[in-house]
Amino acid sequence: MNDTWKNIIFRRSALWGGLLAAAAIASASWTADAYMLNLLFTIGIYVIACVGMNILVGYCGIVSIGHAGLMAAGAYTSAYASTHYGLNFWLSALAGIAVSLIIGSLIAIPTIKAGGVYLSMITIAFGVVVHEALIRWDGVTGGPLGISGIPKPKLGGYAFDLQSMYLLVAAVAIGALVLAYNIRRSAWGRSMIATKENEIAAASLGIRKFKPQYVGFAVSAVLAGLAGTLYAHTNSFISPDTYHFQASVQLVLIVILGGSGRLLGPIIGAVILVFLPEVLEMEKLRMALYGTIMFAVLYFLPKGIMGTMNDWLEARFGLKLRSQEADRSGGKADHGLLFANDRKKGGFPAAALRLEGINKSFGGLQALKEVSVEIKAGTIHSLVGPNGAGKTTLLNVISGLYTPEQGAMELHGASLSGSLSSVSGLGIARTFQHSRLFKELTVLENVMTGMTVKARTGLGAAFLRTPGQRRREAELQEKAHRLLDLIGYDGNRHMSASQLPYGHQRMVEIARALATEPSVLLLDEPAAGMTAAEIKQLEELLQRLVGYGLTIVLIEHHMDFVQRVSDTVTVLDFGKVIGTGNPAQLLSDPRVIQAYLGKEEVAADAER
Amino acid sequence: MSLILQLIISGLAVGCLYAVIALGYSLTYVVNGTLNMSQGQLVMVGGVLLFGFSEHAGLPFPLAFAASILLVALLNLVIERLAIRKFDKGANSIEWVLSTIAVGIIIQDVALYFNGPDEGVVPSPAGSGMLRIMDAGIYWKEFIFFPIVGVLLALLILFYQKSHWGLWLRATADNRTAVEMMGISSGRVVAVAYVLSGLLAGIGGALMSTNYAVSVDVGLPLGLKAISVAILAGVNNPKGIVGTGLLLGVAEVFIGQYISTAFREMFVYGIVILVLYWKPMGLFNVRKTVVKV
Repeated sequence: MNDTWKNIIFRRSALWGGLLAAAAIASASWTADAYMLNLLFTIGIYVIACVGMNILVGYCGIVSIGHAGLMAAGAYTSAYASTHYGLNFWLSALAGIAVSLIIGSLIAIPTIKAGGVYLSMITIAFGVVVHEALIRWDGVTGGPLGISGIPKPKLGGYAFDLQSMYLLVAAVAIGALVLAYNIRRSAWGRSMIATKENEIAAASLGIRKFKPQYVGFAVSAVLAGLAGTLYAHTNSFISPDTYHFQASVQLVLIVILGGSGRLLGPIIGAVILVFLPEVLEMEKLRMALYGTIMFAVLYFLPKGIMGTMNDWLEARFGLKLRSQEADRSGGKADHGLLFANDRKKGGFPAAALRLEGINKSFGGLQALKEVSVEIKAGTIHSLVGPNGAGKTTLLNVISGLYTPEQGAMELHGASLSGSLSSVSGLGIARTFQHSRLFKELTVLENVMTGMTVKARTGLGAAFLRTPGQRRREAELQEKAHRLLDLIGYDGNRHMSASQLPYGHQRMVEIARALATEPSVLLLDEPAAGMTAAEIKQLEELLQRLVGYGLTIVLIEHHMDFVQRVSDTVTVLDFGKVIGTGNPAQLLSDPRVIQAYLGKEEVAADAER
Repeated sequence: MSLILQLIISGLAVGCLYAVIALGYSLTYVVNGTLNMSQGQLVMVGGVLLFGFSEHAGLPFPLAFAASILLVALLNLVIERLAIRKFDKGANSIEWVLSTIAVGIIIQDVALYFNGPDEGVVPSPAGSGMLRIMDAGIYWKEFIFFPIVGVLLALLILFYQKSHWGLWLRATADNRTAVEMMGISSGRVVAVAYVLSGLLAGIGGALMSTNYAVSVDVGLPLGLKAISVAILAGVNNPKGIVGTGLLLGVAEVFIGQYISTAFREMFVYGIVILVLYWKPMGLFNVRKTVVKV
């Protein structure tokens, strides 16, 4: 059975499975008794909140242990608005969501930059403060007694009961799942995962950490607020007890138990965590049990239930739980069209890059001393020199990762400066000495991530996956396929980048850098770890790229390779330029040989 | 005037506790970039154990004190082994945050199971007498915090400067790979850091229970407060942490007295958020990290 058939069968069964599940969810509202219905309703609430949590933890890599506080914000706002001002459910729910979003933003905006454990700590503190405020601010929150008599929603003449609330919550939960699915398959989702996995690599593609991570936080805040309001208006009574620290922990636990970053993870996690206490009927040590489950999941099932199952299915049947597109692009198009035409030779001043007197030091170590280089447009310019000569530092200065202490840089005649991400926008792309692919993304998605800045669509379109958005995504995929064709990658494009052999990782990283449509490409030891055949392939690729008008700056230790591909070579030693010229001439220069191998007298001295 | 002096001194006493607990975070964070999010619960365990040993089991105070802090240090060694070592995978890893939070939840619930929700104060060996300084009355049991914490810090500095473990700790903080290459197991150095951090938590908890009521749920808020101190100061700056801890203790007492006790916490965390925004690495952070690619 070939892959296409497998695919079609898989898609069919996924569709029918989904329809069946929806039918089962709906029919449960008539067959289940009130007790069961209540449990199912609770699962629905958890799914809504945890889908947002999953976007935050799984995609953005932010662990928030304060989302119960945001649920409380939604629930209390909505409850207060409807009991004090008689606002109808739909409006008060909107108010609840808005308040949750605003408070969420107040926490997230200042702390995303600090990230990691800092952000987690702030969210914990937030949850604790909210719980405290709910108890003490009794004029509004009703204190420890909470708010009761919250009206059920009405639509026209119809008043919702538990059964119809359950259906409403189920529908909202499915909507939330669709939203998460859409986000994951948009440039927004890819940038979230990219910034989570490798902030520097993401920045080198022009993706700044803040925007996607804030969007993730905001979505999770909205869903938490929504879940809070739905709960408040169904239960008709809320009190601070529902929103303590442990409740926030439970939300995270559901996500990692189900499998963080897995679409259906929250459902599995919520089902288990809602039914477990009912089955065990334990009063004491319940939190200890949750803590132990959390610990056990981290220890034995780091990918959660869905993640582990997915891996197992993949190994067993070679299937992916993600749907697949056609594996290859159609015809062999002219790859030159992938790059902007005005960047062909001659459209620019002769020098693509000009560095003038660059100095950079780390503490007492001066890594670059008065480095001046001119790199001609449309050529391959190699930087060589012994280890520690400052080659990578120079590349980091050009690409904006480091700021030089002194010196001026020009790109195509205009002054060049700025951070890694802003330099990327000016048309300089780079790869890294050690592969920095986004391992959770597929090969194809890695390349598509390179196009993010130029192709990021509006949030609304991405969330709803409008026809325009689908078309746009198809175009990006097509372009990514063509870039992969260009670099000569013929493996599976839908497998995750973590499974790639090293040589292929390097090539895919080049394709990803090319996806930013650069005019200058900086390559840091691309041939390291490649086989002879792969180096040959790389050589042809570089020649072709220069043919399309790109300028390439190359750091490399394979001297014969350097000699074959380079138009110009600059030799660095101890942070100084000791020569620039054509490769054959320069690499036989005694000064250069000396830099690599040491002086003869010195060597003789050492022997004595 | 005497009220202000009194407020300052009780603020400083609280601040001493914050400083001791926050140093516990710093000790491990500089060594391998992880910290125990259940540090607050460890402090609680220290206090509850001292109460149990001296009030229920009737052990003499010094013995009870030593036993409780040693048990907490041991507990932190176990935590390092189970919840840190496997999950210590660099700066981006969130697993150790989750695993130590899980540990904190377990500790708190188990403590609740054995100890119950009651709170208790251990009678301080310093007695309940008053010390009079310029009209201000200060309890001896509160005042005793200062010499104890002072001696503790001096011992800690001595340990860092003079012992080979101290040297290895400093070396591991600087460059873990180089330490490994010198034939020292950095895993063991990390374990020692965690034991030290546990000792500090235990001492903090035991000290606390001689002056303040300790129940099983004081751990989490206390841990959060202490981590705020560490963040405000910059996690890798011990001197800054001591200063910030004292300052925060005093500030809290004044806010509680003159503004509002209810909003005290909000105020503190509000400041932390602002500082994180303005200086994500803390106010007094000394070291700059160079990104290597």
